[in-house]
Amino acid sequence: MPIIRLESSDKEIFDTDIEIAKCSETIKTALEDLGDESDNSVLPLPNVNSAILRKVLHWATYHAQDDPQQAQEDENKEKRTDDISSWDADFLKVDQGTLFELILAANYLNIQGLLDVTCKTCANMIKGKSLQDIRETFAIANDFTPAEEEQVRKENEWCEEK
Amino acid sequence: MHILDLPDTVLMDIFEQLSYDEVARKREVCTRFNYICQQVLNTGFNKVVQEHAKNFKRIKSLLPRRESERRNHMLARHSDILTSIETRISMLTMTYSKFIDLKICCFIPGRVLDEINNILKLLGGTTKPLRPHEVLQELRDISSMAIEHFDEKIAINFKTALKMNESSNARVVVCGALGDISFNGVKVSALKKIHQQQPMIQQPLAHQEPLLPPARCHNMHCMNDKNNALLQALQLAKSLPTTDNVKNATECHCKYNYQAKQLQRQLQTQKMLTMKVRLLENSRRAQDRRLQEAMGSITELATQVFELKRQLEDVMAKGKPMETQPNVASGALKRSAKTTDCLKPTKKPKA
Repeated sequence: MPIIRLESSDKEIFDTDIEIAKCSETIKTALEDLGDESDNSVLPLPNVNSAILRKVLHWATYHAQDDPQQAQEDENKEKRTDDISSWDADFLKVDQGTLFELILAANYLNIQGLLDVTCKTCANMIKGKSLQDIRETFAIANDFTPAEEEQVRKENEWCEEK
Repeated sequence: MHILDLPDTVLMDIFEQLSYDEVARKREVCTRFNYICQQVLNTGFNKVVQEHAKNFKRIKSLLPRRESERRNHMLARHSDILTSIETRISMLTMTYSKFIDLKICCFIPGRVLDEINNILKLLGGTTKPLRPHEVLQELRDISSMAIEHFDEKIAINFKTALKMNESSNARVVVCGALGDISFNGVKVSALKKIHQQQPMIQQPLAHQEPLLPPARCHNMHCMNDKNNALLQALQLAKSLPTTDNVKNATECHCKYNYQAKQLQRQLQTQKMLTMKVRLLENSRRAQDRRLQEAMGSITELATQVFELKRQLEDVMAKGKPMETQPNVASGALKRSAKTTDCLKPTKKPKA
């Protein structure tokens, strides 16, 4: 089984099955550009630290057998955030900081499946919550000036029933 | 790591997972959320427009070419519904797009996007004839609500902001029935001059075109309204710097910067708007000219018709004597014949 050596931002080396690593479009194109000369060479990933890369590879290993065709079909389907598989849900039971770093890593490595599921998880933290709840959940300060806040509120007033 | 540390594209990905209605509501969380959600809503509107066009093209390709056959086709109702959605989309575009282009606001009614998406999905999922009225009712309701609210409550404030800028841009455009007179680089101090000039300009216009009195009156009205509004805006602009100075003394710099930025933004938007206005007025002028030309040709044609009629009458009048003359001639001949007849017997006895 061909191996690729991935190097995280903190210089840890991950020996990875090339097929698993290829679920990342970024790595895939990098390998295609390098050609066959990349044997045993190290591919540095300066934007991902070892803890996150380990998690990403864990996810990729589990989903290595997924049908990529299915993912494309899902693209046209309606927006829903409740279709996260139980394995993914367990996998993403992490603190907020880790979740955001996973999103960033999925975005950087261009792993669509992981990006979708992490974004959905994050969206679920926003969905159906009051403004104050959201501010508390994510520790966001309301930085509107009173006039600005009034303006946005007024713009959204159109659909309130009288 | 904090959620607001995520880059814009990633945050937009996250909000894409929510319904547009929810996206619109989450604008109120904080300024960053507001910005991101505005982007999501604007791209959402563009996506809906594209999705609709795609669907419409698909349905049209399935319908027969002949209109008579098309009406009885299974997908006729689909086509009707898509046409109605197209109308709604163009109404929404007319309402929001200029303000979106000027970056004054975003596509506000997320719920409308959700509803259009729902209908498109329904159309894509079935070939059974649907009832357009039922399918479209909710969309009609909420899009009208959104547009009405926007025109009455939101756009009004934008317009005053725009007028303020018009004055700061120091360009006054006056439109009349015959054409436009624009003053370039008029300063605030020259305000009274303009005001005095105007009646003088209006009066000759009033005399020159007696053909279309109602239109002219309306234009004059518009002109007066516009002038009044401009005057107010100019006066406001005049009073602004002083209040700014007072505020500067008391308030912090960031607020001043913010105001300056906003003013600059408004200036840019204003420039674009004046361009558009100029364009529109040019086209209106062209239309006026065409109308006048048409009127001219109509009167010309009318005189031609009149002349032709007269000629025809002349011809008819000439035709009658022509008809009677042969009768006279033949009568004369008969008479002469008679006279010869009469003469013959006189000759006979002679012979």
